[in-house]
Amino acid sequence: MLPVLLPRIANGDKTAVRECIARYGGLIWSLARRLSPNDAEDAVQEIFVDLWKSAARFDPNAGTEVTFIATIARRRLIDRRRKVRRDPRTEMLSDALPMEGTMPAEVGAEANFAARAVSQLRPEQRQVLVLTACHGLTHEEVAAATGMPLGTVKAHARRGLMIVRDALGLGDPGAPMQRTEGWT
Amino acid sequence: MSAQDGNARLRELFCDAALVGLDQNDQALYAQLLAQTGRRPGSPEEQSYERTVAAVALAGAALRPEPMSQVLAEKVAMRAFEMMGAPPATSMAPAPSAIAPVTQISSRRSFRAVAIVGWIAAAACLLLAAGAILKKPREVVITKTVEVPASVPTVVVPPPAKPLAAQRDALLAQAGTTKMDWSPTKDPASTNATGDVVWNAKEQSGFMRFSGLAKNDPTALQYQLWIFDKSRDARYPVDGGVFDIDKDSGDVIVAIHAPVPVGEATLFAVTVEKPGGVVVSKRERIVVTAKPTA
Repeated sequence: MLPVLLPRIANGDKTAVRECIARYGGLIWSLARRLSPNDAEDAVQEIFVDLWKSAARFDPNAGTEVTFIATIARRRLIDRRRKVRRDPRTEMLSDALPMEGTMPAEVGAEANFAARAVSQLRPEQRQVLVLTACHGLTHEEVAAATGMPLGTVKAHARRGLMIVRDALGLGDPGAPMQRTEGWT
Repeated sequence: MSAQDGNARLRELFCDAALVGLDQNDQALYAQLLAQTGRRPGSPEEQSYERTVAAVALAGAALRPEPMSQVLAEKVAMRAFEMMGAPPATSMAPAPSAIAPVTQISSRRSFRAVAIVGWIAAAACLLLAAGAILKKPREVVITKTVEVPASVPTVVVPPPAKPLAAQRDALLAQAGTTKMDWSPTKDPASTNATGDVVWNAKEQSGFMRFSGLAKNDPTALQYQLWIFDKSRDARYPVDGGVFDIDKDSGDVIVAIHAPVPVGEATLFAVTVEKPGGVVVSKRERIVVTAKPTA
């Protein structure tokens, strides 16, 4: 596991800033190119400003650094996307294949497990989840682009997300507990 | 709306909020349901949905990475330094294993950009030198920074990785490490299986050691580790990843990479699954389990 950088940045370590940009810059740029393709440069600069401001809030016990950064990035990108609506591009619709391939170490295990869980969703759940999570489309946009009824789109998105969440071990703590019988 | 219906609707709204955001009507309902169910905005439960969406987005972006330009990287750094105070005297080369590393754009030949190209060239030379010295540069981890004269950029030089057996021994020597022996089941793959799992909760790190577990054909099936955490719903043990046994005899050591923090591990179990593993195991073939002693 790579050493975390955000606590150092929160303490004013400028070298950590450089390391953070080198380690995660490509990732943030890739997210911005997908969700905000027409103004990705501006979006990236806004994301990093948000990140520097939020660095002190990072809790390594609550998740990985890279997922924390991706959460901030996606939040900012969705905000920007709401201001400038755009039509779904054709390539997005084909971009719902199983997430297979090798990921760099920087991406972390959580994204790897998410990719595997997404790959195992039903094709229509996967398509809807990828279009909303990875491309920032709204339910209505997905319905228009795929021809699915709006209610079906919402159901697929929610069900798919809940399955992936459970697969990441983030399932409802309040759910009825089943002990480990059956495994031993 | 009954409490059960309220909880179900709230889960839908958690999903919608994380994926696409809520309109005004849904925002009002969301606030109402949070209050009704005794939850607060920003709860760990709410955050878990957003974290899941971020992990999916991250996976999508990482599979098709695009490099960020060095010029943009420099703008981002300068903005950060403005917020923090004065910029540092020297720049630092990108980490060698960075995802979609930043690249220079030759069409923008400002003084700064030219300087950056020079820095990158110098860094590349040093990295090549480091690569020539280290026999397996792709298997190493960045752990230390080498101090160099001010006129040369700082370069991260990775040391050679320790063999897994040595890493396991080192973890065993640490306080808080638990060692649990595997108990084989009646599955034919584990008839002669022995070994153990070592786990250190503080380090969130561990190793499995197997002897006699049947060699697998990774194109037909793989072994998958599951970690039960006392703080989580046991229907959904933490997926510890897939691995292979590539030899018929001798010890095989496998490092454990838990994707999420494991609080108190109560059981480690290995199943046989299809290649790539599964999200939820049908538990048709459990081969070994290990429990901490009470």
